[in-house]
Amino acid sequence: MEKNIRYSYMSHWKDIPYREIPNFRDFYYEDKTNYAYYQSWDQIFKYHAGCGYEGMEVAPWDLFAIRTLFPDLREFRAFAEERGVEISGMFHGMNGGRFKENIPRNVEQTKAAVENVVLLGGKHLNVCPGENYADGGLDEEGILNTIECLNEMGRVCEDNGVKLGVHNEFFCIMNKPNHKRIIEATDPRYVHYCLDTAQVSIIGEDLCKFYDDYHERIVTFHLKDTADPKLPDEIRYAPFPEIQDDGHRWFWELGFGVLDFEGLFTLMKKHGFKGWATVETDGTPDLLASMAYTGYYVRNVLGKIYC
Amino acid sequence: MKTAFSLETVNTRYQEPNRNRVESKYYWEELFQLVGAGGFHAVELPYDPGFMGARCCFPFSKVVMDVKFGGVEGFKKVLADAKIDKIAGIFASPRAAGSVEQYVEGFKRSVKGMLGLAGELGCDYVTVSASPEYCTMGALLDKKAELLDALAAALGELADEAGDIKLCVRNEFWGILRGAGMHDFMAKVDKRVGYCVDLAHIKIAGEDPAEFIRKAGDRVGVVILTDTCFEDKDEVWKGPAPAFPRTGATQVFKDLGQGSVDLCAVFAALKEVGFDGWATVDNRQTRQVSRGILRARYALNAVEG
Repeated sequence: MEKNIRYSYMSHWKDIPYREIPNFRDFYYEDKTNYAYYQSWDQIFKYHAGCGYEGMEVAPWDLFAIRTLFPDLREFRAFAEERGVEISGMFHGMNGGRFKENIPRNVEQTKAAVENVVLLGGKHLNVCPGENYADGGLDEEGILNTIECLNEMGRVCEDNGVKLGVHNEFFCIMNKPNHKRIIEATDPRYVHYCLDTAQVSIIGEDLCKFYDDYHERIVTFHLKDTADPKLPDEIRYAPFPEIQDDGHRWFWELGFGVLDFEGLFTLMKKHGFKGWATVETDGTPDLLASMAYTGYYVRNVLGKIYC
Repeated sequence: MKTAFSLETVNTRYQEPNRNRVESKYYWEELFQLVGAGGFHAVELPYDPGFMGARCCFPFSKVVMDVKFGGVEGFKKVLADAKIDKIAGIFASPRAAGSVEQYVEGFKRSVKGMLGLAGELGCDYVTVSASPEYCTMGALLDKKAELLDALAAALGELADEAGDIKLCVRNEFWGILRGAGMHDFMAKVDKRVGYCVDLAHIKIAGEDPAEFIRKAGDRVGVVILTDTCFEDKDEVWKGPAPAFPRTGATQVFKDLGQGSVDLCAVFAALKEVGFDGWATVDNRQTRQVSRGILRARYALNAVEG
């Protein structure tokens, strides 16, 4: 039976220094810890595939270190695919698109980003519009410029066979006062939406209602849980709230928080979602354990509802 | 001689188990207590003003100190509460960029920024790499002599601005000033600028650290106490990511005392040249920071008696 959902896992791996480690046993014996298990892309991709993930979504800040090992990104793609993993897409940041004068620069940066996504074989460019909310929210002119900028960026993506997915962050300038308006005012031919389940819930939206309302625009997901839905504005709009001083985690593995994923998957079935869904576990101390746990969860819990 | 502990020991860049902890403030507050408990009452900071603003709590820039610690004085108070009463120095390694002029301008801009922060922090030294990684230099390699002359002149200008802060040049085994090549360069540089002697880098470049110190003589400005067992038989220093040899995975930099650097010989050489500055432990690539602190203290106790 053909699957509707293909699962990808977000690369929250920090820099990986080796392609492969042929001398693994010697390397392990140097300090006899689990350190050696997280040092090569060969291992990382096999962990993804072993946990049932067909894809990996990368971030632009990963590319410098990746290119140190794989100067041609097509080589990285082939290396991943040989181990059963495709690159589903890449994250991207809009830089100052709220200001008219920054739109041409964002379009050029999108061209460069899309070129990388195509080299990697990806289908999605998931775009976070902007700076922290604490740096100043969006005024009317900023909203209009953001809409124009996203439309232009989306056209570049679409021309290259890549889907631009707008991605909320709970602490960024595209936020509760304006994000629905931006989604509705952007051109649906070019601008789509990547639903980050935790970010949207922390902002204060009801996850299932939001998906039900905007399912036609949603082309992919960042699936993660949270125990802090409807976080008060004074916390979300404070400077640099993403990493908390006391180690408090906003994001949890699916099922470790309070979000209604069974309700969401029932709606995904109703609307017939097809495509990549990226599972994220920002802030986990153990990406491999989180990957294995969530791999079980999407197959054996959510997969019974829709797969 | 005074000893400090470098916070470069904390891996902020590469994947490792539990890596997420270092992003939050609580980690650093406890780390400072462990550093103090290990008998180190001064620290060295990597200087990284551009790293993700203050998203993470790496205390390597003014913006992080302002946002997360209430400013420089707030940061120093957190250190003082952990029995760390001095920020001995800061360091940075520039990346290659464009032409000789562009590289040197970027170098000067970076060092001026470092000197500004070092002044606010009350540091005694600033150390900077003069050479980027060999494999990143590209066309700059064809203009090596011109580049080094320009850098030597720039360091002289910067020494004027440094005032009481000792400006020192770091040597790395992957740069064009590796090993004994450093002496020729330093002969051209203003005498107020000192050597930053990194023991492991010197040894990997094929030099004897104690002999290197004797040649540097009274120009030794700061010593970085690092250790290694690595022998660069395949010239990995010329390739990308030389700290992670492609010829075989290994921990190039060991915790102090765990490698083959002869610390007794180093300390004897430092005594011979009359060194009375900072000797800073840097367990870069450590597999466990807290164990590394104690290993370093054990090694220093063994040498100092």
